[in-house]
Amino acid sequence: MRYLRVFLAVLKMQTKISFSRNLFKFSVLIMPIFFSTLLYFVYDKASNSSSSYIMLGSAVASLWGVTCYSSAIEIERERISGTLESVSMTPIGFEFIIFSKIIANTVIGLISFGVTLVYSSLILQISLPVYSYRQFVLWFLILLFSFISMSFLLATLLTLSGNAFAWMSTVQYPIYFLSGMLFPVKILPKWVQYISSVIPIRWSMESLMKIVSGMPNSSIIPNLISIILSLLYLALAHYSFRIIEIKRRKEGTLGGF
Amino acid sequence: MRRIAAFLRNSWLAFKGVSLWLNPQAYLTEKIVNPMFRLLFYAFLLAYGYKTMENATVYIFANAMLLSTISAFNGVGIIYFSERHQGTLIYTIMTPKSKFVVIFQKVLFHILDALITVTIGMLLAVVIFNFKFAGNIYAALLLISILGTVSVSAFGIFVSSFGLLTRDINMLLSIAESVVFLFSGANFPIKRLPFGLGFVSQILPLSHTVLAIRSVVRGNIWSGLKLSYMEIVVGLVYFVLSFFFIRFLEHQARVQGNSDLY
Amino acid sequence: MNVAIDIHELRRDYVIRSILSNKIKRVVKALNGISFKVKKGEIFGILGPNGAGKTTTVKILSTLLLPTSGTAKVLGYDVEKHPIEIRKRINLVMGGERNLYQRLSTLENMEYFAELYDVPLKIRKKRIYDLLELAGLQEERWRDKVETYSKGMKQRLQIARGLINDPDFLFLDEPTIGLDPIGARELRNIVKKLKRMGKTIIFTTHYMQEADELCDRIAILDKGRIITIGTPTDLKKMHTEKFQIELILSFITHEHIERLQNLKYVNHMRTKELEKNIHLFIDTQACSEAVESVFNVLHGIPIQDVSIKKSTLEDVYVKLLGGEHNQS
Ligand SMILES: Nc1ncnc2c1ncn2[C@@H]1O[C@H](COP(=O)(O)OP(=O)(O)OP(=O)(O)O)[C@@H](O)[C@H]1O
Ligand SMILES: [Mg+2]
Repeated sequence: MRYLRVFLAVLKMQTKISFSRNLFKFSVLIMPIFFSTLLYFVYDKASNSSSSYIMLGSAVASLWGVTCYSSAIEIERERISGTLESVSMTPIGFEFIIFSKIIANTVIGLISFGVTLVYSSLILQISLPVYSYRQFVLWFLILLFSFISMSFLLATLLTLSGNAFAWMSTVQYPIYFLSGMLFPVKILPKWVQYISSVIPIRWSMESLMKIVSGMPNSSIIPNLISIILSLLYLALAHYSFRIIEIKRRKEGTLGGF
Repeated sequence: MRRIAAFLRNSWLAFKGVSLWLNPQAYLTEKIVNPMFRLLFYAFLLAYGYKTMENATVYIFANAMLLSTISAFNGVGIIYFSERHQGTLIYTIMTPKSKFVVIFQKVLFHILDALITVTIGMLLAVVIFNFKFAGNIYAALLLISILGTVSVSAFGIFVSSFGLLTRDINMLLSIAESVVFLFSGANFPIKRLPFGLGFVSQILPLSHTVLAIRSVVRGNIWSGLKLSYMEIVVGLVYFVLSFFFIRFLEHQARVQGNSDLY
Repeated sequence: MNVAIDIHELRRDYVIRSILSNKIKRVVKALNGISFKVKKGEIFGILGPNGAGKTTTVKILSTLLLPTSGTAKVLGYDVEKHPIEIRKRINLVMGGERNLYQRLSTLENMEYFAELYDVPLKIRKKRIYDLLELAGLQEERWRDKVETYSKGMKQRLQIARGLINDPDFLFLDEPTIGLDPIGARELRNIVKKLKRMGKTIIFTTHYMQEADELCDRIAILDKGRIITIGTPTDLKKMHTEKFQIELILSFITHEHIERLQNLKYVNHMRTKELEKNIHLFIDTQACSEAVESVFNVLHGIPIQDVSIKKSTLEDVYVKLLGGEHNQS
């Protein structure tokens, strides 16, 4: 119950803070438009998968941008204002607070989905055939889960690094092309495909693409892989937070390496 | 002679005072690693969009150049923001020196810095994608990219000057960057843009550079250089505009009184 | 001409707009029509509570802000019409750790600003060295980045920077904020030195002692208006009694209090109970007469402690701005 209260408090605060940040508004409102416009003009409009990428892919890609940005700024802001340490000393714990913030940011980031849908269907006049809405929504939730697990792990990395923002962009772009958001993973060189197969988003993305192209049955296995990987990531992140905690006690600093 | 040395020295200090990338690790990340990932991303996207690597080649190469020239844009774009952040903006306003010189000194080294990035970008593109051109084509491409860098930096000053009024320059820079990127024609032919939006791309920087690059890559060096000449005109217009604009915004800053908020 | 600054009916409003609609949310009247003059070579102090309008005044005079109405002339030039002429002859130092290029060293900062003010190349180096010495910045740190400095060092560098164009007129906005007592004293000595060099200085501070020690004249501002203006001595004379006698007694009766209040030399009296003792505060112009008559009245009451204090600028400040008025 207490956790739920904290979570709701975080969600409320986060919504306020996020929208006072212009870069956040940019990631949520402009980036999706940028991606769908770019894809619209580059991709062949006749093919069905193009329109899925223009609509769905752009939305997912912007959500990833929002996620990266929010994780980085959360950590950097606490570090700059010197609250990173005081937050980590509260009884509820740094880990839980960061986790709540990430969920909150992901939920708020869903706005970019709305933006993409409206923009692509009204302005670009593209339609997305969804064969099974119920399944789509379910798979979509699994995608969100994979997002949350990845940004949770990302947050630990950013906490440990000295400059979260530099690292943020270093992580952001590879994930764009490794996870098949805007084009299929198949076109990557083989050895790069191996790397991308450990990324949960990649599998969730594959199942979603299958649903919109009318192959709901073959979408189950990738989703299972996504869930398993996401759980692994969460465990890894949890373990990393332990290490951070110990490091903090030992060295009395979270200032980075 | 001493005058020139002092001028250069000062331009260097102006750069050093606001540049974010003086630590070598951050510089490498910002100048090589991140552009490389971005380039890879766009290259794959284009390769998928244009079906074959042959179709995509010109676009990929233009993108490589574009990404690196845009780093000049971001470098310049952050100037007034950084001055505001450090509280030195008030002295930029208070100086009795000619604004023209002040602005020029501020951007000079950003442009030089960007030239390094452009060279690196070109090398990366050549190495990763195995482009093979004749020597004079490389030379022409480098020259065109340099001119493009100068022009986009002038545009950068223009956008940056909004930093005199607002502390939210980052958003503005990102939007401007996306717009330049979309309208440059580096990813798809400008002809595909509907309702005369092609005109917008004419008055934005880099669109002529992209055309020039494309024509040089196809072997038409001279027509490429001619197109580049238009790019310089665009850049010049932005530089002159920025000059008047900055004077106007400085006045505006005195009216609003927010030059030392951060 | 002997007037360095001439301000007449100066007003300044800040308009705060809503971010979304750009509608005017609030208009803050930071200056409500102030007028004063500052003579050349004077150190002029501006005091007042937070938000009184001190920084606003300084910014207008240093051409960073435009007045909403009224006129302000610096060294004969109007701030609206001839900012460049003014800028050549003035400089501004803001207290605090900002306003410097953090990634540059002391020498580099100085060099940069020397260029912004077109200090002739020939004398540039010597001037920089002289100023850094004047500001008392240790030479072995001159080549370190500013971000590695302590507050006091940054403050010193700011002073040196503020003198780079050899200004006739220097504005110091809370220059001693956050300095340790010795640092603050050294800074005061620098300011005195500057005065001896013939510079005119406008100075804002929250430290009354400092203002008392340094300023030739003082203006006290509140809510954008000048409450009083004059030399520290005049202000003390005008607004307070000269002395305050404090007596600590174990007890006192109403009758005694009444008799004390009726004494000729007692201008004002206050009592306060502290730790079971009674404290009496008596303001007076004539110290010895007052002490004598008070002791006569208190005959028989054990007096635990007596102290006599000359009134200070702080008393003036507190009297004028009252106790209710600590922040705004
Ligand atoms: N940029 C601004 N926008 C809106 N209001 C402002 C701005 N700057 C100052 N103000 C307001 O103007 C009034 C005067 O501010 P000013 O900074 O001049 O006070 P001050 O006397 O220097 O105070 P302090 O002692 O705290 O430095 C205050 O009410 C302040 O809130
Ligand atoms: Mg102030």
